[in-house]
Amino acid sequence: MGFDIDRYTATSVSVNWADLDLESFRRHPLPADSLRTLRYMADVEYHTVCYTRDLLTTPSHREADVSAFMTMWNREEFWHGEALAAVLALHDVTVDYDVLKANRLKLGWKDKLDPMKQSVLGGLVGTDFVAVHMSWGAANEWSAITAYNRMAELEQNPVLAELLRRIAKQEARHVAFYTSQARERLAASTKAQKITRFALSHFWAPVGSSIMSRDDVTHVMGHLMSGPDGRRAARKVDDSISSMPGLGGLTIVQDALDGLGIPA
Amino acid sequence: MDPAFDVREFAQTARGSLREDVDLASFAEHPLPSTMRRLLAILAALEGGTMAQLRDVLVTATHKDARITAFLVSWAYERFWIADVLSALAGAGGESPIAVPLTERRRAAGPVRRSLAGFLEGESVIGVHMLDGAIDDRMLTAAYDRMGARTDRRELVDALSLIVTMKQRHTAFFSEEAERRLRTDARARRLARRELLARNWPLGIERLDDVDRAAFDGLLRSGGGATEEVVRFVCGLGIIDADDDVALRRRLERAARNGER
Repeated sequence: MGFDIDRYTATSVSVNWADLDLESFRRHPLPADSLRTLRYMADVEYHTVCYTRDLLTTPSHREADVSAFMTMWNREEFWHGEALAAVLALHDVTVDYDVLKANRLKLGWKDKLDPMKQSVLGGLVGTDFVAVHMSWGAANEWSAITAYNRMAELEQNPVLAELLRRIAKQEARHVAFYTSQARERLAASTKAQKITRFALSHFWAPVGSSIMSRDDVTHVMGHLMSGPDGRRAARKVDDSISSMPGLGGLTIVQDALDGLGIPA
Repeated sequence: MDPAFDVREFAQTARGSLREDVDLASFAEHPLPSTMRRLLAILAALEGGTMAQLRDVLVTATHKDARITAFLVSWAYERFWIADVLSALAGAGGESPIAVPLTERRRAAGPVRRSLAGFLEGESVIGVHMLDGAIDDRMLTAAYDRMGARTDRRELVDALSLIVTMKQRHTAFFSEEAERRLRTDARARRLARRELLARNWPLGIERLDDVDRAAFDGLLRSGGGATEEVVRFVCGLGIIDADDDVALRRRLERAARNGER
């Protein structure tokens, strides 16, 4: 069954944490490793609006469903950033607009070139290019859910676990949208399958790789995805991605972990 | 000077669906005249074109400013629901829903040209985008005011007044940012002047067909047009001289009729 966009928009809310005892972090602070990972997650969530830019340069935004989804998705992800920033603030880690702006300014030329690259590619490939974005989005959202679930498992902090569960629940709806879009577009076009398979296998990297330092990416992947449990979680994401039409056998998450030298 | 608009508070209090706040049942029972419904559908199309506007803004340096993107995320959300309730009002009680398509005319400034221009314009372009938003809001708010003056249906006046109240916060943000940035940046003022004399407002008007553009223009003119309000605002920014003033007036009065670029 397709994704019900009206239901999604009508029930889209900002993630709530007012009822959670965040002050408990003052008494039971999270370790430095976890704070570094949370900081990474917050930056990535806040950066969603910039990813949106890439989607908007393709023909996809002209479709009402995609446009409606992006509006809600953007806002939900912004609030995930705010929620994680609230946890970080209790550990005296500040993530405010000035800090985010400074990070975005550091991205330099590559960031400026991205929209042009996306737009030119979109123009050359045509509507099949939208399948790449949708499949990419699905891979990223599956990865995000996995990362939040792994963080909750590893940290064993009930307040953090509940907040991450709420965030992951919203991410699951994003997965549903992206997969329904991706499946439909991939199933309809062999060309879309080939382009998507090529793009994912050659260019996909863990969420945040384009905006964070390699050190940060390696830290987060090592923290959340190393060892047998981490590898099992990565395999699960790969299985989901490779279940989509034409993407069978892809192991992009495990390949990325190998590339970063994350022990299995 | 630090900005006064509280983006965080705006984000926290952004309004979602307005369908519960508007008496849609009364419109289903006693439909509005078809001309009024058409105007509502036109306004829904203009308010619903947010993603195209967002794209034009995000491909430039404006996307670097996290305070502005935080605002835009909630602004797009509120605009989505404004467009939604306008569509619901336009469709209520009609035999078939009225949808106004925005045509995909070849854009003079697509994302590639916009982002290339963004290279050269740097942060100065942010002031121009804020000015665009401030003028767009004023034009649309004028349209809601004129519409409210044209009807004696209390429920419609209430619905339009709710929309205008929401838009006041958008206008406040865009205006404050435009004033702040243009005052201190000569390059932004030069870019803004160029934009003023080349752009159409409300944004997206050129994507309506001739009949709908004429209908929208007629609505604005029914109360004297939005030109004076916009010119007064722009003059306060100190970016145009007397000759520009005349050209801008012509532009604003002509744009809605011809959809010129």
